[in-house]
Amino acid sequence: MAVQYSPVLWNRQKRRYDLVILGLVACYLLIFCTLQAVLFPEITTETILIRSTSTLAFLLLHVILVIGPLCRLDSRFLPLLYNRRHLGVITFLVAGVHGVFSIIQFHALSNVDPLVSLFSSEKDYGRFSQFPFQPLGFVALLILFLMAATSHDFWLKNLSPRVWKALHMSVYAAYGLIVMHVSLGILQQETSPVYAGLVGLGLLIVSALHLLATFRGKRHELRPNSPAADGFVLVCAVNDIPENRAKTLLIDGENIAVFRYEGKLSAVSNLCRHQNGPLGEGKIIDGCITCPWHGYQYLPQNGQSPPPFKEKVETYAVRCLDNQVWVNPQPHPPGTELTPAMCERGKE
Amino acid sequence: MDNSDFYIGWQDKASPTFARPVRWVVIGLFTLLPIIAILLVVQQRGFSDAMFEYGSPVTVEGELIRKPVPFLRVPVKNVVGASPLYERLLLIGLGKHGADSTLAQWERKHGVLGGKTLKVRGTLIYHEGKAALELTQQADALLNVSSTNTPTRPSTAQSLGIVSLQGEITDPKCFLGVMKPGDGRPHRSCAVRCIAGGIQPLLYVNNGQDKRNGYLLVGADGEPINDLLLTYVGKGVQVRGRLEQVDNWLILYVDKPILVTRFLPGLGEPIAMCH
Repeated sequence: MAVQYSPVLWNRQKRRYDLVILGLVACYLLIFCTLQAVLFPEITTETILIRSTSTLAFLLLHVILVIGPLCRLDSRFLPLLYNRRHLGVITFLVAGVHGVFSIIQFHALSNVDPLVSLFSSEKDYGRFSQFPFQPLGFVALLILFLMAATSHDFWLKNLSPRVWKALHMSVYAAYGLIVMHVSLGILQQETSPVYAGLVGLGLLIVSALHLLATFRGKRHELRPNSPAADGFVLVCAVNDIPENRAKTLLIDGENIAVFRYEGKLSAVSNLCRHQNGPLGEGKIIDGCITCPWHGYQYLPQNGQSPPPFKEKVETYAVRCLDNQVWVNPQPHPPGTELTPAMCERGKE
Repeated sequence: MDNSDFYIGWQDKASPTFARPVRWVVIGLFTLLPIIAILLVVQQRGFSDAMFEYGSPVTVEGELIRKPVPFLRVPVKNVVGASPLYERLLLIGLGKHGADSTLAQWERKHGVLGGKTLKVRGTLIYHEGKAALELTQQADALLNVSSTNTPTRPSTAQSLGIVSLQGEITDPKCFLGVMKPGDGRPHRSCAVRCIAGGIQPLLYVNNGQDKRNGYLLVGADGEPINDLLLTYVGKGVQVRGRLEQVDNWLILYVDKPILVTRFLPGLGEPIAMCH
């Protein structure tokens, strides 16, 4: 949350996060390059650079992709998510070194422009096994570039969270392209089962964690199907919602979080205005709904960020009858003040 | 209010509930990444000991041979005996280009150079008895042209008959040491560019054990067939043609290449090892 533009809102945890990433990058490159030079002294410097950066970027991309589902499966991993954007930018930079060096190595100083050469040197686009693998990597690099370039909150605000999120979901397309790039490229030359095994294991871990997290998420999500009464839908009992926490529900395409606090109930959109983070997995702290992803805050009764911040989310009308929570899934415009429903304490 | 069960990134410190598992993740990553790095390096198939003397140009003097591919034929030093021994350096241009444009520049200035003795500066590339000279300084690589034609030397071209070979078409520049690896799938597009740029195509034959050899490919009458071979570059091919040995190089006068998906036994055996 920022009132004024600032390139990076540094804090202690972000600094530590970045130090760890840079440490990992340095550690990997040092070990990979030193071993290459010692075990294969005949190798060229260009090949060392291309191979070290490609493998590192691919590994970092796996780390990025597993953070999301890990956090959904166990909230104790949320610190890994907090500064994931910096990890993404570093991954792009490492992949960029690989891409630039590869284009220079394989396509520069030839009789056509390097980028023309990239797409035209191999022409078997109609055969899967012979499909040119380098353009796949190039397109993936473009996606990573777009993501890195728009990673700042400036773009998030200007593109809108929905567009920004959709753009950043293309990381999965990039991952698919890179898996193909690796499978049709280096795996055709490095035929050790370790290489193919590591790629397969990575794909398996990423897929399994995502499936597991989706399954777990659906199990926790309420999908009320009782008939609506006066526009309100029965959600759950008051006691099903822990104090200062929420229950989330999906109804009529609306993703809603119902919070219980100080004997009251309020419902807001489950999507944080910042990055569409799951507000319903957040907590009310100092009277504000606090997003578990980046700590964005909203007042439960009106969905507005406390002044001077200006973010707003949709609000929903809530009723409490016979200790049962009812929600009207018709959204009110972001920031609309609604009177919280009072819990019937005596029946709890 | 106790918020130790909730993580807020902008706070100075994460509660132990979150800090502890994250610490283990960090330790795990610092352990796992080096292990993966070691595995990836150790499990590579290895690299040839080919050599590109980048940044260390040498001066070489020898007879220019223009056809079917440009060579500089140089006498081998320290040869004992009456009959002189020669080696041929395949002439290659800068980057992914053949030597033809540089040779044409020289000939525009000095007239026909075939058969003359030239003193040339370039960068050596060599592997397993075969060598090439990159004309790194292009037009300026020619230092001197002898005023007279070189006295006739005994022809060393030796016909080795009609052969069928299976292997991969790549470019001799990368194969002899400019790139590691200079063959295989990742290198295919580079080989296409080198051959399209005029570098002579080379058939690399490897029996999968310790026998391997490279054959320069030209048309049946010695004409360049670079464009014809572009679709075959970096793939398994079977080639039939007339084989000739010229000093330390083998030249295959190709009838027509055939794309193969499975290598046939016997045809992968490199022949006429001449080093």
